[in-house]
Formats: sequence, structure tokens, C-alpha cells
Amino acid sequence: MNFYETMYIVHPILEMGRLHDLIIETEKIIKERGGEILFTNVMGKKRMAYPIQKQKFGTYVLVQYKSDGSKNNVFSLDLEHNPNVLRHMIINIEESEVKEQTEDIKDQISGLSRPRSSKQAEEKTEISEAFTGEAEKKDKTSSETKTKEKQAEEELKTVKVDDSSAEVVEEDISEATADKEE
Amino acid sequence: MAFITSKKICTFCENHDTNINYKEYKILRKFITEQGKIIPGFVTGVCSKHQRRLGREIKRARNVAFLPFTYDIRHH
Repeated sequence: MNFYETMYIVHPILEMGRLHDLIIETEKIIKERGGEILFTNVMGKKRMAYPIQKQKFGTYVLVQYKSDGSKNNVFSLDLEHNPNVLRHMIINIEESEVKEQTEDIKDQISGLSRPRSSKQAEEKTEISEAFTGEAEKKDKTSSETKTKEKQAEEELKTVKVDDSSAEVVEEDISEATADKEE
Repeated sequence: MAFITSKKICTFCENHDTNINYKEYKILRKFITEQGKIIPGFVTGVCSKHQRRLGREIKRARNVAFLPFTYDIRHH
């Protein structure tokens, strides 16, 4: 038994009930051909990189299943003859790539109409955290440089105040600049 | 577009967590030109092992219209 993954693009007109019916149909076909469905994911309506059958958008559906692979040819023909499927691709995957089914198909489809909330929000927070972490580091480095600059400025002020010790202080400044370069 | 010329360390060897997969086409997008061509490994610094996987996954992503075969101004 091998593990396979099928990605197919459904016509964007199909939504909710009809989309659900089509997904159930394809699953039924796989089951009839001796396959065992492990994971299905409705990825939602996306803009395609190039138009297929004059459509700019398409609903992406992913199915992972286990079968001996002898009936994959017939399954791909079935998808090809279905006018509601714009494009499909069957690939061989390893067992480690198979994901666990957590959400029901109906929930997934109904979730598409909802504003994409949780996942995107999480991603955003992760990104922002990453950026803040970098920013903190930058702040630290910049603060260090700032303190050095301040010291140099103070030394310069002292130069202006007492001219007698000018030579000595100038040497100090040169040392400070050398530290900076390091 | 990612023309990394100064540091030529394979990004996928550095981060083992990054998965080369056609579904994660946003990562793959960095390794194709504006015209949709695959950028050679010696330009991006990707090692030959990962470049082979990249090529395979980019070609898969093209077949399901995640990535373009070629850039056409009429579609944008």
C-alpha cells in the first residue's frame, strides 16, 4: 500500500452544498477503487497564477489517501471527465507527510465564508514577535553606540571648557573612536 | 527574486524546519525569476540536494497554478 495525495481545483461557481457534494463524490470514487481516505482539506478560493478554462479563481481541495495505486489511472480519468474540476494532480507521498484530520469537511466549507480569523491572526502575531525580537536587539546595539557617542560629546564639551587639558582629551576621543571601529 | 551573492550558504541546510513543498508556494516564489524561470543554485546558494527538490516542487506548483509557467502582462 502506498500513500497518495490529490490536489484538484474546483470551479469557483460551486459553493457550500454543491462543493460539499462534489468532494463527497470524489471521496466515494476513491473508496470504490479500494482506497482509504486519511485527510481532506478545503484550502479555499484562491487566485490562480494563470487562467484555466477562462477562470481566474478556483477552489483548491486536497485529499490524502492510502491505496495500492493500481486504480489511480481510472481515478484521474474520472476527475478529467468531471466538468466542475478545472485541474487535478495525483502525486505519491510518504507516510510522514500524511496529516491528521481535525476539522470536518462541512465545517471547513462553512468556515470559508467566514472572515479568515484565527490562523492569519496567529501568523501575524508570530511575525510581529519575530520583528520585535530583532528590534530589541537593534535597540540594544543602537543604545550602546549612542552611549559611546554621548561620552564622546561630553569629552568634546570638556575640551571647549578647559583649553589647557585639550591635548589629553583629544587623545581620549581618538581612543573612543578606535573602540567604535572595533 | 533572491540573488544572494555575498553569503552562499544553503538556506534549507541552515533551517531544517523549512519544508520544500509545492503547497508552500510563497517560499518557492523566492527561487523563481519575474519571468517564472527557476533560478540556478549557484546564484541563490542552494545546495544541489535541495535544488533538485526545489525544481521538482516548483514544477508541481506550476501544474496546479500556484506558480506561473511564464509571466504574461495580460493576466496582471
